[in-house]
Amino acid sequence: MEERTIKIALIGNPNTGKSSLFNQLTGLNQKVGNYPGITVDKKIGYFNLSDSIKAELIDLPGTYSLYPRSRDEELVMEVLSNPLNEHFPDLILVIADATNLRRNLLVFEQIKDLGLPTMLIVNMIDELEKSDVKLDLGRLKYDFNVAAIATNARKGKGIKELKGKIIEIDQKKFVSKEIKLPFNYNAVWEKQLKEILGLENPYLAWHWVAQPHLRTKLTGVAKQKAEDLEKKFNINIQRLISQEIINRYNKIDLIIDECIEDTKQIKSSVITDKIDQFVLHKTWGFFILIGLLLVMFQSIFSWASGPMDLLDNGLAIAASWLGEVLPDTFLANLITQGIIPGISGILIFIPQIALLFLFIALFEESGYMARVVFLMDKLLRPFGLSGKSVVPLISGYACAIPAIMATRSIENWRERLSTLLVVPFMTCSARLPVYTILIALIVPASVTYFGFLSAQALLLLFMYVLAAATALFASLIVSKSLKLKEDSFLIMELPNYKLPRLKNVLYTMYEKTKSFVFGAGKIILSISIVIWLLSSFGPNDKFYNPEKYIDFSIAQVDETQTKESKIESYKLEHSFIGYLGKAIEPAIKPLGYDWKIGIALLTSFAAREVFVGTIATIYSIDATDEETTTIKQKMQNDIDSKTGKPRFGIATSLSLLIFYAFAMQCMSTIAIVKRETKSWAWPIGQAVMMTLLAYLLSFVTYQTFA
Amino acid sequence: MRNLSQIQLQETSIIEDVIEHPLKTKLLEMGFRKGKTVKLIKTAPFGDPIIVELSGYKLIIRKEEAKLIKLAS
Ligand SMILES: Nc1nc2c(ncn2[C@@H]2O[C@H](COP(=O)(O)OP(=O)(O)OP(=O)(O)O)[C@@H](O)[C@H]2O)c(=O)[nH]1
Ligand SMILES: [Mg+2]
Repeated sequence: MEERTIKIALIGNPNTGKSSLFNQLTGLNQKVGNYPGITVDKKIGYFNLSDSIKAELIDLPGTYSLYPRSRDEELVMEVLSNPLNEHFPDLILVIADATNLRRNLLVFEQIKDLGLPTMLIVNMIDELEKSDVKLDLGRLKYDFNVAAIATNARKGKGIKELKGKIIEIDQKKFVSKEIKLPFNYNAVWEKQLKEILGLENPYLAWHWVAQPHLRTKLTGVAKQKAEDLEKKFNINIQRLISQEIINRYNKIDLIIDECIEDTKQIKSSVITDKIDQFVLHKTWGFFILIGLLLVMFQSIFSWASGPMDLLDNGLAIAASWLGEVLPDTFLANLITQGIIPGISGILIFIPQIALLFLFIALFEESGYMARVVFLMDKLLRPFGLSGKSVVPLISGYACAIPAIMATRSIENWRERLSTLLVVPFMTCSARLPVYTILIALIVPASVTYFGFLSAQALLLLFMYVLAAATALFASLIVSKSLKLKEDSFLIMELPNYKLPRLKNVLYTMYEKTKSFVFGAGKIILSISIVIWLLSSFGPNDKFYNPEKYIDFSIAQVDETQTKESKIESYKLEHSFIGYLGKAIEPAIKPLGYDWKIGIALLTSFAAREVFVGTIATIYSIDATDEETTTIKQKMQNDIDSKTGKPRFGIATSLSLLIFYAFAMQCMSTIAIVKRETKSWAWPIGQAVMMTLLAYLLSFVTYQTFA
Repeated sequence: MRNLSQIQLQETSIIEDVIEHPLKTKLLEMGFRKGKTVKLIKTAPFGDPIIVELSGYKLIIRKEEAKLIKLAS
């Protein structure tokens, strides 16, 4: 039998369960969450409809209508407007929320007029069944002339039936034969419009002129002709769209009045209202928000510290065990001194990062994130941001990449740009390892306040608050200097609370942590190898015959420093990497950093989490004692041979902390900002400004505390 | 004539019209249509935005946009 693939697109209002359905059908794990605007990019998956029929499924961002207001919504028409698009569907599945059919059917009616085979999925049928409202699905199908099916995408009910229907039904039967524009128009205008665009379907032709983002893609000639035609017939696009929406809703109302048996309105959830009395309370609302964030930070430190110590010690033991059993060959040394310390530098942070992702997933899955938008909107507006900036900013605490993507749902370009330019200030999880190590060097773990708040956790909290404050301040400057006059607005659906699905939350946590560790792991692996190689060779004899050059007669700065350790340090200083570090030392000396830290700084420009790995690798090369020590201990024990003081003293550690808080050290962020702003100017400007700021503030910090 | 920004807490009213404005189509799409009932559910801590209930679902909307929605007297 011949194999064939049909392309299917998922379209519908935000937060109706498109991604849930996508996951059910494809077995993939596209991110799901109880917030309108979780999906901001298209995602492709495959599944089998039968032995001979394969399906390519595309999940799209949610949209309330085919007329987009934001970047994520534009993607829908980008796929649907052009038959040459690689994902142009053979079949569209419109997902509608059963408890809100009228508004959900608006986009269905629009899609139907594009003249493509369309099927209707009435999702969240479980929610409808919970209320007294009864839906006559048979009648709905008949009146809208469509194949429809009821599903529960959360539990996977109706999925089998859906697959069956997709193959069985000849979808072409339901395609409208003759499509009419949904407003009053002049027949001559319509005929000429179709001619100019070379399209049979007048509604599709209309979208090409009515939507600015499609219009810019027209050829110069077509654009000119369309403009002339508009003038000639005095077309007011906005007015016609308003007319379209009203007409469509009138039709929907007529049909739905017949299909929904109980005319009683669907009641809003009692539980949601009860919770919101506290969560959205005028004063308590903010206390709850601050309280939740405090719990998050405290737990990152306290809950995670047990497993982290275990991992840290375990990895140190493993490394020294390997050092003993492996022969003293070049390759074995590369593994025990280069790769293992570098990789364990990141592995020990798994518990913290997983917890952070867990909290953010819980905020999104429960429906709390939308409440934060409501609480924060007014406070954020003076800074040139909107309530919708909250989601990118909070997810920026996990990682700037998805956070910058999430700005796509912000309609106003000025607010979106300000948001995405300041998101990298937020304390992303890559900074967490750096902070944790440095904070441990600054404040002893034993210091606590009120018996439970650890001083370390408080300093970490301060870093998070500092990040948010910097982001706000930077946004103020950005939006003041952008002379963009564009009306900002906020009209957003407030979803009911949902009990987070354990499976979704745990999976998100697992998936994000995994990709963090592997993403960072790859960079760290290669950088550790490079560093180890560069430190295993030197440009001159000083590296190979250190005994000849060291003057052992000079009084020992530090009694504990043995002859061997002096030789090792001397070798490292005169290796390639040592010379490299020395070369940049003058530039970073004012910040309190020596050449060793300089190397770590240099390597972490591609990704900040590399700092810890680099430091670990350098110290393991430098280490002479065969004892098992953790990275932290190694750093604490490191004495600057010139001053006789610890290399990571308070001033240097604080200065480093500040440097990592402000500097843009993430290639992926630069790349994504370039993609979202479509220009190099923004990401380069952003990186330069951030790094300058970091340099300046670290300088001030070091000079103050030194 | 009153608009949606002037409605009292927990008060229910009927939408009369949405005035001409670049956001008119967005408001229509979101369901602010003539004849529909709206109810003010909550006002944010600093008075803006507000949450309204509309045909069984809730929307967050700023007062600035609520002004565009005229209510029946
Ligand atoms: N009760 C119930 N909840 C559902 C159902 N389908 C999805 N959900 C939940 O609804 C929320 C939204 O689901 P998503 O799959 O993320 O929705 P989406 O349409 O992809 O949303 P956007 O990407 O924001 O447009 C999640 O909390 C889901 O768990 C369903 O059939 N019944
Ligand atoms: Mg989605």
